[in-house]
Amino acid sequence: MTLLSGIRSLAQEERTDTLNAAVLQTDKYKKMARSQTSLKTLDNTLLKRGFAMLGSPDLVKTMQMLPGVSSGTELLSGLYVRGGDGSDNLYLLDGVPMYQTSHLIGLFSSFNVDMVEDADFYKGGFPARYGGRLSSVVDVNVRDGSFDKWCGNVSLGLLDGRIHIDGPIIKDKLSLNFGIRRSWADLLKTLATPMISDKQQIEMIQGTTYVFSDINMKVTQLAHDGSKISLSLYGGRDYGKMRFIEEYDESDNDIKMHLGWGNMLASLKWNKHITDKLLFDSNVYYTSYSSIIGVEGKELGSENTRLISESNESIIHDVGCNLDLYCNLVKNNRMKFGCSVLGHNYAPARECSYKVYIKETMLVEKETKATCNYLGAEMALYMEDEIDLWAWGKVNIGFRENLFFVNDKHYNCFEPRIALRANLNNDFNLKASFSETNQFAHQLSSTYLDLPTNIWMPSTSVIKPMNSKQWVAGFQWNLPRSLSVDVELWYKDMKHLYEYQGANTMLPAIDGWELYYNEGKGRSYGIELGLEYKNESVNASVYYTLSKSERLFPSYYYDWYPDRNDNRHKLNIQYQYRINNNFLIYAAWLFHSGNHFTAASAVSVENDSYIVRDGEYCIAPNLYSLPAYHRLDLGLNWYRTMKNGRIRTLNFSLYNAYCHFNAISAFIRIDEKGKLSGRAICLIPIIPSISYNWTF
Amino acid sequence: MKKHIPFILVSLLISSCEYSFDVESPIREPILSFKYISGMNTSCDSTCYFEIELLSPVGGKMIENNEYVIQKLNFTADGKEVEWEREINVHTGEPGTRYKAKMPNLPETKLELYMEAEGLKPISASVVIPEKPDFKYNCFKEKTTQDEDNTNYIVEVIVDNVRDEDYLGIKIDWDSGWGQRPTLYIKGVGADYSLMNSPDYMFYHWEDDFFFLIGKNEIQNGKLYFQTELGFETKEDMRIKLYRFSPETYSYFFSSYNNAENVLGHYNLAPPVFVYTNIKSGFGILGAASCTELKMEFNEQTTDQFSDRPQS
Repeated sequence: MTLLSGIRSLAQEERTDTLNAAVLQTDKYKKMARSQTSLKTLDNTLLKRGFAMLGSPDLVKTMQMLPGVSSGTELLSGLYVRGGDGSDNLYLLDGVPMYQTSHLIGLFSSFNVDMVEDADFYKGGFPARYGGRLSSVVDVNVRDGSFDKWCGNVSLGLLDGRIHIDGPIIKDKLSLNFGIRRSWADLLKTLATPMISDKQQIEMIQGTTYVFSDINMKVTQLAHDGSKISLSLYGGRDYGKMRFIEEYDESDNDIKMHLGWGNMLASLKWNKHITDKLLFDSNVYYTSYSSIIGVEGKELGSENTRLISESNESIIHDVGCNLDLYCNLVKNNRMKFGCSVLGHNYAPARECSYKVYIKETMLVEKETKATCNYLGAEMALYMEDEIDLWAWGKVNIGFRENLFFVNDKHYNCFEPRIALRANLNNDFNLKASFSETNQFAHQLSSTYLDLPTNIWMPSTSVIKPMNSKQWVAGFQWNLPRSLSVDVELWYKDMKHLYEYQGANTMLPAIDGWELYYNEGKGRSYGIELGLEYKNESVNASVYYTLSKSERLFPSYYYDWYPDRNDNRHKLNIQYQYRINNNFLIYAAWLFHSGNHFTAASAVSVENDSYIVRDGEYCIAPNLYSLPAYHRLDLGLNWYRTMKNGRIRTLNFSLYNAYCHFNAISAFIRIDEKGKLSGRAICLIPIIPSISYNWTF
Repeated sequence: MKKHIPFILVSLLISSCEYSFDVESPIREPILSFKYISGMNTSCDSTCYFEIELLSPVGGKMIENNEYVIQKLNFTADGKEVEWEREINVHTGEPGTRYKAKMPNLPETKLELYMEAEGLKPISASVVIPEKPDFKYNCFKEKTTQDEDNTNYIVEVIVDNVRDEDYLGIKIDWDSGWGQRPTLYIKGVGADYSLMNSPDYMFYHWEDDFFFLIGKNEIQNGKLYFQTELGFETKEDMRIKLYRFSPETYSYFFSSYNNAENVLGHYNLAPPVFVYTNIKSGFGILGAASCTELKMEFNEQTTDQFSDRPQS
């Protein structure tokens, strides 16, 4: 029953929403007691109370607010951690790696917050049990269903809706937690269709849609011997299609385009306390990612018909197993060790077909296909040992030994990990860490957008594993009046980074893809300051980051140049105030130096006028900065507890409340006064939204 | 006022906009650009033209015109001075940006440039003219054709002594009598002609000359395949021209093409592509190419496949 005591249902949490000062105090000292650096734990309450853009609370958008993280393009779910490139974050859903972490081209993340118990977000000082990505680890724990009683909630946001239930299948033994989410904007199309009379337009509207959905399920069983078995399933998918019909004198064109991408995850976990001091944990899992983008064209002429189709598909199947042992056999010494085996299958494919018919006779038929298939295996052995240094502090020493096999090539990478904490007194400690990581999967992307055109490929004999070394040092100081200060300095060195150079196509090459990547390296360093205040009704934080992130790709430029997401200053102020049991208000102000962009450094002068030739006279990438980014987000949660104990929550939120035009991109142009200046492009500046949540 | 509120809100929601802001360029002073590729568009008597332009910095000290005063301009071929003459700008009557020179185009000749202009950073560059490519070809009529007016031919180009670091380009040249040079008769290059696996397939033009750069994937075992479609054109005057470029020249063409096509990159939504330059302290290109030309003979025998053509 000890496990049961730790399991809280969502309903219970909502009803006991008032934060307890004693719990806060415990949290504070828990943080002081661990040697871990650069870790932020986001619990379900924090996620649900935070700002909900388009009425949907979002894990990745919450993490974007943290120090040391750049969000990249406005509104999207980019996570560029301490100079990372966005594809180097390890997302784990109940211990299973997830490749695709967003919906709607990055507008929403793939994590349904109703299902999330908490998420550990590591930006550095990675424990040895984690590996395979360079910049961060986002370890999302899915909540076990309640073993006590059934509860759930229904939410309706501006673009999506969610249903969640959890409860006991067999009381105190077997529980279920289930959540489903779906966008519903496509239903508007159904409503709009009867209003249109033109048959061609109706066909085009019916042939155009966009839907995303995800489904989560977790079944947990508690055994009499204290062991726990849980089965987790996740399926997420985005699907879109478009249809264009054009009529000309000579021919009619009918073009259909479809795209889709998503993940499937399944895991079976078993953990058991072998003795009071020995815990065994095992996880067998399957994860897959698939994306498809295809076009079908039909040209109906007076005499002949041409059919063109193209399909691009990328599929990854991974099967893995983790075995971990946690032991506390020796006093003041806690060891964790384990191993993991992960089998990869990367199989992108491209097919094209071209057919010409005259009347019903096929005149021309051409079909082409390009595929490649990589079988890889990633094996790791890890060990970490946390040793108490009497009253002085703690040291955590560990390593991770990786072996990666792909086709006829293998890599052996040893990764040392060390973390140190020194207590100066009960409220002040110093901390430091070093970690090295390698990444064997590479996202091949011809754009910065999260599109199904992105392909994942393994390291090969040509493409080396990406490597990063990160040093972190800082202190944590608990001040009086529930204030705490956290300061960290970091330096990160990255090598074998790759950038796509075949920019004349959205679709990266499949045959000989390794030829189209430039190799380079990166470095980033900075300081992060965090000031937090918590009491029963107020939760406030101020985060500031001063950082620099650079790249060196000799094929572009001989010297270091700024990374695209190199935001020199980042300041984030958040404030949450629980006015009473019925109202909670939220405000966050975010400021950061503008992202960098590439444009001409010089222009031609012809006949007394200036001619900008983008790219031709560029001296180096990313030398210009966009204007500074800032916005204010406001939110109000209105809770209403019904007589039967059920809670209704109405959320109003305003993204970018003062309507600041934040640039997503820019170029160089001659302004009205004949002066060369930057022209910034902005998207939707202000987004009001409303959502309704019913908890039962 | 109340009735206007929804309208204002909707307008704000759907509006995207642009605005100006000041930019700081790393280049604060005017800078020179030099452009010349030996072996491209050279007339029979080896007269060639190169261009030296003065560029204005973005966000720095702007210039009003592209006039500059040369203090020193050394252009040498294997150490020997090349004679040059600066042309007059017909609009202003002042010295222009175009230069006329007698330039040898012999393989393995090293071309070197050094130039100083008043108040500007000196520029320099060098390039070695590559060897002419040797090749032969086979041309057959394709069995299938799209319509009755046009005929498809498949051409197999066999390049002698092709090397890994070879940088090649190809075109079909045809003097139609109307001044056209329709390279467009190459429909697709590569094993399957579809180019679907070849992001570096490109159609490039240098001044008025059009050609295809041959991508890294396109030439296998020294053989290249392309398809051409002919209609009313006379086959008498058609010629295949195969170019070998210096690495700098290929990089320049390759990056120019990718830059032009990198639409998302221009909006900062894709990695940027820069136009390569080998001009130290300046922009542009000092490049070199050698070309071999063969008259095209059309074989009316039909074929679908060459026996050893790589299959996709």
